[in-house]
Parts: sequence; structure tokens; C-alpha cells
Amino acid sequence: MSAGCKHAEWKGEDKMLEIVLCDDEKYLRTDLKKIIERELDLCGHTCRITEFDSGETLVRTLDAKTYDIYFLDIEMKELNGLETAKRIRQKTDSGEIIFVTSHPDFVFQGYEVRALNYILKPCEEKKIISVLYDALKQLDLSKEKYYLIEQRSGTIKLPLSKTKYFASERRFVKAVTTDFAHTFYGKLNEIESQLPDFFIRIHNRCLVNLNFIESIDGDSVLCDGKKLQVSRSCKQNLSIAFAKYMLK
Amino acid sequence: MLTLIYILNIITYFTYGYFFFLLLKSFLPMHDSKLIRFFGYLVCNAITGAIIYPNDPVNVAGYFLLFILYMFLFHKGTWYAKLSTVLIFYPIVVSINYLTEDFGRLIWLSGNGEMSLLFEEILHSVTLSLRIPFWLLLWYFCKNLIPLVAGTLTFRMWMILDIICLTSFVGILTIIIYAPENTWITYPACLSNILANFGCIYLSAYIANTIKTDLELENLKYQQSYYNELEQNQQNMRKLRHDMQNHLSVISIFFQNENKEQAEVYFQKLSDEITAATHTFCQNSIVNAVLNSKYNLAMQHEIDCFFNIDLDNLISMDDISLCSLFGNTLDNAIEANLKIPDLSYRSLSVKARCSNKFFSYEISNAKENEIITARKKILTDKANKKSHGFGLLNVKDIVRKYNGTMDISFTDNSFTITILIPLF
Repeated sequence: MSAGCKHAEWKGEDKMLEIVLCDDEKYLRTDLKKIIERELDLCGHTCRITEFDSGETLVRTLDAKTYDIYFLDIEMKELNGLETAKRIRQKTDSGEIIFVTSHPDFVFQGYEVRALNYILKPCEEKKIISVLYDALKQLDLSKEKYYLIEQRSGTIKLPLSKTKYFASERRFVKAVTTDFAHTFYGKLNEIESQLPDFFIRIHNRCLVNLNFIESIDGDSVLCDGKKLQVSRSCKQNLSIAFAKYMLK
Repeated sequence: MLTLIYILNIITYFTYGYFFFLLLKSFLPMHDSKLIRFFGYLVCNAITGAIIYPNDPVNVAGYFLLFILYMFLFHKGTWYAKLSTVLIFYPIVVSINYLTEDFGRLIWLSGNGEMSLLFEEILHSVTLSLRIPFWLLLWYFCKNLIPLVAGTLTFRMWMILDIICLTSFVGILTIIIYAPENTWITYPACLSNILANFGCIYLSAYIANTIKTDLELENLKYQQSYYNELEQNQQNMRKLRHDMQNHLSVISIFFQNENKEQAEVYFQKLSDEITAATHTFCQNSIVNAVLNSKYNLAMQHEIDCFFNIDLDNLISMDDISLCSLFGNTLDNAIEANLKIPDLSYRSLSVKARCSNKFFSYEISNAKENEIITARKKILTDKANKKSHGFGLLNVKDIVRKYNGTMDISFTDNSFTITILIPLF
């Protein structure tokens, strides 16, 4: 029996989980499929597992379809796993990539194709499950979250992935997104407590989305082309959060 | 005649100022702009020309502040290096100026103040010109000694130097501000003060040299691990070739007996043996050797490893720093893991990446022992406190050297170090 359903973050949604297994050896796909299906079933997730026997066939379907999790065998004929991953990333930035390899001296370099992890063949069940949960957690984190601004005229839904920063001035807070800026009554401290951790405090009066930070130098950051002040007391926190963000 | 003497005095003034300027420049690098350097030279003249009279605290303090201002405006380097430079050189400036000035005054006094103006001025010029050979000699002796001081001394080393210099600094100020009637009594103190600070300059160069040698030694150590790695590979290959005949005959026997299961087991074992080779984590062969040896060590102890390393654009950090950074943190992480008896809890995650003009690094390991801290410092948990290493301290020094940021965080069963270093 597997480790059981210890994963709570991923709320089983209506949307079916789309999983890809890409390996040119059928019996290894079957193995993996069995473990994944059983584990997700146990947690009450509905999933559809699509099998491919080559990178080319997988890449060809990508124009019409997107997937959530890709298990890619590294040693495939013609298009190998790494090349397949590169092609996937050319088409889409979403979805988690996991490499599967039988080479013990395989070196995982995931940053270029934003791959999550790798599994060594013969696949150990415990490892597959822990990587699978990691992927589910990551998928949940990458889902769009909103900040709700309650106003007399109605509620505004602020998509956080598009929000560059929050800046406060006296009793007002200005939220700047890629499309518009909106000013409302509010306290930065209260907003901060409700935001995911990719928002980081750089100043008494400013919360910045790490995804938009282009550079840090001295006492300012470049946030999507705009220079924002960093206070001395926030600098350490910002640097470390930035390092963690880049290593994600 | 008098104008001629004035012109001579001005030339003297700018000459010894120039040597002082050169001396400071070789001690701590200046900003690159020519204009800034020129202004720096002018201010240098003002500092070395400091007029120091006995019982005059105002001038002593004023020139001290000017010197500090000069260091912070015109020189590069950390604040403590700048401050230390002031502490080392200011007592020398004060001593030599006081001596030359006061010596002239004594001669003048011995003549009961009945001198012609011309003679007075000539006397003044002569004592003033004594400063030229002094600064020339000091510069001449120091220029070969000190070029490497600024880059290599660490914060702690500077502090030690500062403490030594503080003695002469406070000494000379006290002597001059509370100078007795017979000022010549203070002369030996001033002279010994100059010698002491010259000794300090020499000492700083000596320490810097030692540190450099240490670094080279460390470099050699890492190179050694690289060669060991190569050697090990060679041996494995030779052994394998030697044993191949043997293996093949064993397998052929299995086949003859149609014993498929045992053949499979044997194959697996053989393939494990072949593949226990080196990984290519990065292009830099020495850094790679360090990573490999630690990775293999971790694997031997059945630590669950996750390495995600992308160092392709890393140019501005030197090999030794990088090796030391990886080596020290990995040693600590592996050591902590070894103290966990239950193998399934052992884990190690290493992430390093160069992008967005930053080197980001995070190493995270499982642990069991409690972290012992005292005054925000993490202490060793080794039974013999004296056998602790300088791992974390070395890492901190490297991060400081590259103006980076470092964070240490831990829970009951994990320990994480995160580092961000700007690249140029």
C-alpha cells in the first residue's frame, strides 16, 4: 500500500488532471501508470493518463491540447526527453515536467526547461509518489489567485499573477497591474497577510510581486521597468526571497 | 626673495602630498574617474599639510574628520577598510607634521624670537622640506608591500589591525593635546609612533600574504580532489577491463544453464558498477570534482539527494570561492545527515543557478541534532568543541567578499542556507 493520501493542498477540482507518460518502452509506462492511477484514485482525484511512445508524437498533439504533468523518459530514440521538454516549453509554460531515466549518472539540470524533478529507473514507488505530490502542489501554486477589493460600487477581482505591486500612500493603497492601476482604501499590512508568498515587502509602503522583478541594485528594484525604493530593513528579506524564487 | 621661498614652499607642499596620495592609492583602490582622482590629490595635500601645534585639539580633530571624509568620498572598498586606513595613516601624518613644525618652533624660541623674517621663512622651508624624503621613503618601502592588502583582509583581520593602531592613535593625540612646556620631551613618543604604524602597515601586508597563501593551499586541496577523482576513474576502468573476461564467462555459464534470473541479477550488479562514474554538474572541472566527491559521499551514506545545478554563466566568481562555498556547505549538510540513524529520513537538496545577473544558491538538509546558538551565532555540536571547523565562517566571508546576502533558517528537522550573490 502506498503512503496514503497525505496531500491536502490540492483541492480535487472538477477539472480532470491530464497526465502524460512518454517512454518508448511499453512495460515501463504500464508500471508507472499503475502506481500513479492507484495513488490518485486513493485521493479521489480524477485523472486521464495519455501514453506516448515517442517525443515527436507528444509534441505534435500539443497544438490542440495541454497537459498538467509530463513524465518524460530521457533515453528515447530520435527526440530524447530533454529535447522533448524544450519543445514543450516552446509551446507552453504551464504544466510540470518530470524526467524518468535509467542512467544513474544522469545529471538533472531543470532550470532551462523548468522541470520539477527526476525519477531513476527502476522506479521506486515511494519516490514516484512524493514527486507526484510535489507536482500537484506546484500546479496548485501556479493556479491564478485573486485579491478581492470590496467597494461600495462592487467587488473588484485583482488577478495576482498580473499585479506588479501594491503601494500605499496615507490611507490609500494603489494596486498596479499589467493592465491598469486601481486605488482603494486599505492597509498594506492587512493586504500582505492575505497575499501568497511571492509578494514581498520592500518598503514600509510597498509590496512587490517577485515575478516582475528584473533586477536588484543597491537600494532599489526594477519592477517591470519601474524603479521602486527598497528600505534598508527589507533588503535582506528581499534578497533571500529573490534567491528562493529563482531557485524554485 | 620671500616670494621665491613661498613658491618653493608650495612646491614642497604639493610634492610630499603627491607621495602621500600615491601611498594611499596603493593601499586602497581609488575611484576610476580622472577628475575624482585629481580632486582626491588636492584633498590629500590638505591632509598631509595638516598644521599641528601642541595643545591644539581643534586642528587634530578637524583634519581627522577631513581624512575620514576623503577616504569615504574618493576611495573604493568597505567602510571598515576605509576607517582602518585612516587609523593607520593619520597618526603618522600627525606625528611627522608635529615634529617638523615643532622642531622649527624650538629653534626659533632658542633664538629668543630675535630673527629676521627672511631667516624665519628659510627655517620654515627647511623643516617643511624634511617631509618630502619622509613620505618618499615610506611610499618607496610600502609600494611593494601592500598592493594586495585591500582585497584579501577580512573584517576580523581589519579589526585586529585597528585595535593595534588605536594604541598609537590615542597615544599620539593625548601627547599632542596635553603636550608639556618642554615639547621636545614628546619627540621620542612621536618617533616610536611613526615606527609602530609603519610596523602595522608591514603587518597588514604580512597577514594579507598569509591569507593568500592559505587560499592557494585551499585551491590545491580542491585540485587534489579533482586529481583523486580522475585517478579513481582510471583505476575503475582498469579494474573493469581486467574483470571483463571473468564477468563474460560467468554470464555465459548462466546462459548455458538457461538460468535467466541469476543472469539478470548479475547484469544489474555489473551495470551498477560501470555507471558509478562521474557526473557533469558544471563545465568548471575543479568545481565539478568537488561537487562529485560530495555527491558520491552522500550517495554512499544513502542520503536522498536532489541536485539541480546550472552554473553556465558564472564568470565573476573565482574557483576557490566557489569550491569553498560548495565544499563547506555540503560537508556540513552531509555531516548533519550522518547523525540521523534512520536512513529513510536522510535527505539533501542542492540548488544553484546563475541568472538575472545573480548567483542564487540554496542547500537544505535533514537533521536531528538541535542547533546550538549563542548571541545569534551558530555553534558546533561536536563533543570536542575545539575540533569544530570554520565551515560556516568561511562561507560568510565569501558571501561578504562578493557583497552577497546569506540567510540561515532551520526547523526541528531541517536546516537551510540561502545565498544571493550579485554577478558583474
